[in-house]
Amino acid sequence: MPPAMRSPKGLLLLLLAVLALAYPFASSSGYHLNVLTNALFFTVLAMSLNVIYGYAGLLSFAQVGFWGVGGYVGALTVTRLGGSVWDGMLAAGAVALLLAIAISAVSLRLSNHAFVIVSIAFTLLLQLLAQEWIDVTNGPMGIPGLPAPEIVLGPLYFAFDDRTSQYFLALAFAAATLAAIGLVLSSRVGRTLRMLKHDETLARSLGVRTTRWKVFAAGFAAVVAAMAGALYVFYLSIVDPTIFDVYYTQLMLVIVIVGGLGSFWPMIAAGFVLVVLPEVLRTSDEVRMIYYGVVLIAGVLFFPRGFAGLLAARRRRHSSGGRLGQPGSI
Amino acid sequence: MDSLAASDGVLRPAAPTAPPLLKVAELRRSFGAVRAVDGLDLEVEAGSITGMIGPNGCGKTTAVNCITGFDRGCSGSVELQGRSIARRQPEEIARGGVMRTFQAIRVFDGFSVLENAAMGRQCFDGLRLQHPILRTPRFRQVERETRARAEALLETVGLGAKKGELAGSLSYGQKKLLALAGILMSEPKIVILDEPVAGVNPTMVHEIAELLRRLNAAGTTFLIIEHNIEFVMALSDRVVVMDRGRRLASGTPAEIQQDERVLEAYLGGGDGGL
Repeated sequence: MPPAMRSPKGLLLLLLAVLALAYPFASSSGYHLNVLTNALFFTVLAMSLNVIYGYAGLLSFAQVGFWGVGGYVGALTVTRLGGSVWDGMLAAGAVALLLAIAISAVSLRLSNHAFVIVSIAFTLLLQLLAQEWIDVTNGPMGIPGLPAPEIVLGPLYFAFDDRTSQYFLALAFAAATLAAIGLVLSSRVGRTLRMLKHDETLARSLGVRTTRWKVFAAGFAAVVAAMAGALYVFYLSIVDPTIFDVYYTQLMLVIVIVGGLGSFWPMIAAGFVLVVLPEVLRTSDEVRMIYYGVVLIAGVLFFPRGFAGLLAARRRRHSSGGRLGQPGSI
Repeated sequence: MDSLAASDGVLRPAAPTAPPLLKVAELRRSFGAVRAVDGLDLEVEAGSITGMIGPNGCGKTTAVNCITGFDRGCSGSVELQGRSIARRQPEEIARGGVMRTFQAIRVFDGFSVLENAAMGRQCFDGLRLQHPILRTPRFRQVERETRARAEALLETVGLGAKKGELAGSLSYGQKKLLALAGILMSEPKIVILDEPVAGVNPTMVHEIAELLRRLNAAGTTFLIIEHNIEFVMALSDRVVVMDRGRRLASGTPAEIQQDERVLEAYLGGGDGGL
């Protein structure tokens, strides 16, 4: 048997991968595919919040700001500078990294609370900028008509210009990003971030340079959110100020909290459930949000530590002392 | 060890030819009108166990917070091996080899006992960011060493059988031992223990004393802040008595027990005595 099939988790992953790859061929509904593509983007976005909030314990409202910065930087790189979509994503990541280091290094000198407030102000400011700096952002009209991502390799040419190929692109992006985040969080780096969250004073007494690690978490989370945002606007083919909408913040927070702060797989599951659920419940717009609300309240009441909390007791029984720094221990 | 003279068969700090490992001078910290630490002088010789005693509220814990950088409002000089560490960030002081425990004991409850111990070494193993993320061969090698050392130290402090359990499930005394093991992982130059036996049952007090003696014989330098006078007197090479934020007296336990100022100001004052 290949190694991936030896554990139940590996088997489940394999099954999910097959399902994700086969789905577009089994269903002809563009609507379903659109919902799934959104779920991929929002799960990555929520995971970026999980890095900084769930792991490092820093509540950040700046993630939607970075998501929007990524969208605008990506769009402008293509429309103004003539770069490719991939250039746009890289530029988005770079700009977000610099901004994240700037706002976190300054605000964290004061306190974690200062960081929360600065993160709110940061997002509001960016939204204002997107609306009012008309020369660059085209104001509330946004920047429409963004091109589809394309691959040019010598004679090879491929454009992601239909729902199915865009779904596969989003799937590849989400898989790569989540795998990279998983690699970092399941390593000792993830443990160090959790040390900050649990007891910063104790971490410092053991020599952990806590401020540097918080800036690292902020930068890492910002790069992920911005690159996701950049790809997302090319999927929509437009970026406008609604990309900073509080809806995204609310969705991210709900996914992270329902999944379980600082969890990995349960959070990914929550991402899909919480994006797909409102669509499944779409009987009428009035009733839909009531269903959604009931499910959320029930979730928080009965599983206060999220999906992850449900699994934790079972996992604890299986854990021994020998999990020091092993991958997959999250 | 050349910092110890063993001429009479008793380990005792050498004559002060070399500078002390830790030298604190004129340390001050005020909270409003209250002078919590008011010009404290303190030396700790390498290889020694130095005890610091004093009545409640005399500024012992504040002094520790000043020395280890957790209290940012202190003045005065703090030198480690002749180099100033005053006003540095606490994590930098820890990295310099000054490690401490906390009076209100702190461990990472949600992590296993073994992981708690391993965390004590992670800032000292020289690995850069990419090593753990990419699980490089060097990382795996270091991780094996860390694990072996953590297991050995947990054995030493008597928590070997508990290594797989969550640190949060340990008793209060066991958490103190775990915190000590974590600190020792990095082979610190000096270990500062803030009330290591407060709230610990008498049997365990005896065990902790034995443990500290063994660790000291193996080369660890200790500064112990403690209310339990008997414990400090039995264990220490030198004792510093603090009163109202300053050093009232210092000397060997025998000297301290004879010191009239100490007897008058503190020990004889109906406080249980010696």
